[in-house]
Amino acid sequence: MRNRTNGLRHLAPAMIVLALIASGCGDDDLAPDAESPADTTPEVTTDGDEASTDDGEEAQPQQEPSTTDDNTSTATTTPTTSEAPAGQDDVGPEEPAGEPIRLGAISTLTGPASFPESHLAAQAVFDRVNAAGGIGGRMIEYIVEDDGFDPGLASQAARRLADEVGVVALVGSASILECAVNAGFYVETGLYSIQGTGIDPVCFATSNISPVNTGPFFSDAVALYYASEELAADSVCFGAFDVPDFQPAYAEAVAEWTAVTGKQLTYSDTALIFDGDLTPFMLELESNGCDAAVVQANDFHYVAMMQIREAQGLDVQIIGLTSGYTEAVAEQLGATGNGLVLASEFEPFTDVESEALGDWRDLMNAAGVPLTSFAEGGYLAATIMVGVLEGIEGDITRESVAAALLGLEPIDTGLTGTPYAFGKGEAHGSNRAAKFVELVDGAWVVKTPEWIIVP
Amino acid sequence: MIRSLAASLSSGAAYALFGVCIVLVYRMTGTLNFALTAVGALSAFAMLALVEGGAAVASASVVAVALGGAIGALMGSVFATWFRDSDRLTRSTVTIAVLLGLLATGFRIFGDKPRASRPFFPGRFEELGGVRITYDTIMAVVFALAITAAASLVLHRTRLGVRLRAMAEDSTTAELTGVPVGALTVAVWGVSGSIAALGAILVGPSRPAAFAPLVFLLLPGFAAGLAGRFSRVWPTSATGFVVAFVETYSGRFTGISRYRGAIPFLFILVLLLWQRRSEVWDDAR
Repeated sequence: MRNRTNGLRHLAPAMIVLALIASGCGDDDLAPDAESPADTTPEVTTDGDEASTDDGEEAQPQQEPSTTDDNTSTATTTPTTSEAPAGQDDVGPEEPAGEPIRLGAISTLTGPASFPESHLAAQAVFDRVNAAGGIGGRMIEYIVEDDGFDPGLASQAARRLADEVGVVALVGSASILECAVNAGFYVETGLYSIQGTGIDPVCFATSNISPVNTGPFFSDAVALYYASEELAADSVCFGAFDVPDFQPAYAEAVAEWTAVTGKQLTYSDTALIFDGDLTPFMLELESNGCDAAVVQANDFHYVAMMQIREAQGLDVQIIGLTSGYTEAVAEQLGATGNGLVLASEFEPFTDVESEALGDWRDLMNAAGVPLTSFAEGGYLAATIMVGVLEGIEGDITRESVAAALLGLEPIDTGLTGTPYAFGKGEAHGSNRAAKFVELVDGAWVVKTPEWIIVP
Repeated sequence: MIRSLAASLSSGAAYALFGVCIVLVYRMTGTLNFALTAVGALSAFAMLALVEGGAAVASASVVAVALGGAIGALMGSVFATWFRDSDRLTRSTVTIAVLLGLLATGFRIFGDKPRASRPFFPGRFEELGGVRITYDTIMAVVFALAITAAASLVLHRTRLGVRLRAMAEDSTTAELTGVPVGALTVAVWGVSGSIAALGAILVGPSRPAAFAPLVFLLLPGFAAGLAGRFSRVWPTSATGFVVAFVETYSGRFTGISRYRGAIPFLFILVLLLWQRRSEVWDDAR
């Protein structure tokens, strides 16, 4: 018995290693295929069957890669001959005219929260451009890196894209932290980013990044404005989670609202515990007489808050941000979520009658990309970038793209309430508007057909 | 204060329950089980998935508790087979590997998609200090106290408890004296898995509706266990409730509310220092 045990004990280290390997593979969104031994970077390719959504759906391959490097997992979106439009065969099989235009993205694809739709949507836009012959005959190669919610990985990813891959710009990134990590590096290297989803405050406070989305902090200000001015709530309250770097941005959002309306918050708690029970906070809202509370949180927090609201019999109007505006939240809450109002940073994606969303919806459906706000951000960023690239006369390089972005005239996108802008400013935040949607019996209904903009 | 106490009961039950479970497994098998809440969360989410698929809450819960027991028993059989003679550090480290594996499995299966909780008693509650205490919370509190009492009785008043403690101290010697070490190890782990599953299901309705937050109940659970020095269940249980109350009550004070996440740990640090107040420095080290 003892000998047998000793023999089996040799298996123990192997079991631990296996468990650790399993955990390393345990992302919920993207499962990178086996990489070649030469490449152990966390780079995530987005062109093929590696990509899947957080719901476990496999993202449909857009194009077969034709120029995949044998030694890396990087792949292009260059279409194969069979998928190229009619007439392209004459140019020659798998021989695009010139070097591909390399664009990059750094997104949070694994970790406690993930945003896979943004780059998938951007990919769909680039695939369509490539299928139509590319930009001046040059194909777009889109390389997406996963920052894994890790500042170190985000930093490495930026350096790899800038120095090794040689991207001309970044587009469609959706990350919780990459702006804060890489903003300085982008300034040093002259890289510019049309961010698909900017979250951390630095995304809106640097010269080289201009997000297409409103962002959580401008959204806070818009939501507060909506609560006090449109809903005419007498007592407006505010809640957010305790992220030290976010505290100044919370204060700035509230200050912006106060400056415009002259009103003060009745109650505020910006130190909520991310994993904690939200019941005490909800009870505080009630006992402080809050008519409406703007809460910056994640989708699962909104689900919990509405369940607590029902369980405790509370009346406070909860106004959330676009992070909760998903089909999953509507489906999970059903009638329990009645009255939950959220700010949509883009044209509300559930509005099937919106003409502005026609092309986006068709393209996302064709590409198998889930219809979400993040997909709108990726689509919009990529579409703007394609327009910028098409407008460049001469060679498309990092410098020429930078010059084009710095000289960009504001663009009316149709999907946002204010025109998209880049330019030479030290900070960018052109999307300053939101439309509000309300959950009614498990379905999102557009509550404000007009954009709400803080004056 | 009554209001804060009422609002903290659900968290308190969760902290106490997981804390006692950690202490129980440690006393009986000599292993700090870092994977406990992951087993609970995985089982609770399996229950939610079954309910989403059309199953009744009660029957889905039975399946989930059985699943928790099965995962626990599987872990127990691994420990009984491969780690019987390993030291405590090795065994505890293995549970960290299991935690990572279960986290990965949970993320892969359930993703970060929100899932609304499914209370046993929707719409039923009692009021205390103007706060509705749901029947699920009452059940969680009763369950936490019952498990604490049962653990205390088994450990100190039964022959089984003596055998289990002997097994934790020296499994080989215990086996030589006729203690069925393998079967007991599997049973202890299995029961702890089931308790974790039921605990996670009961406290789920008051937690953020995602997989990871349930797993992170491990930290306050361990903090409560630490206060009981991983040996005494009643101080562990009491600490769970007190920590939750302090966390909730401190949220009412603007000056310290920002630090409420750290307050439980400060509380426990002070408690540990107090417990060792009469020891000489070199002895205490």
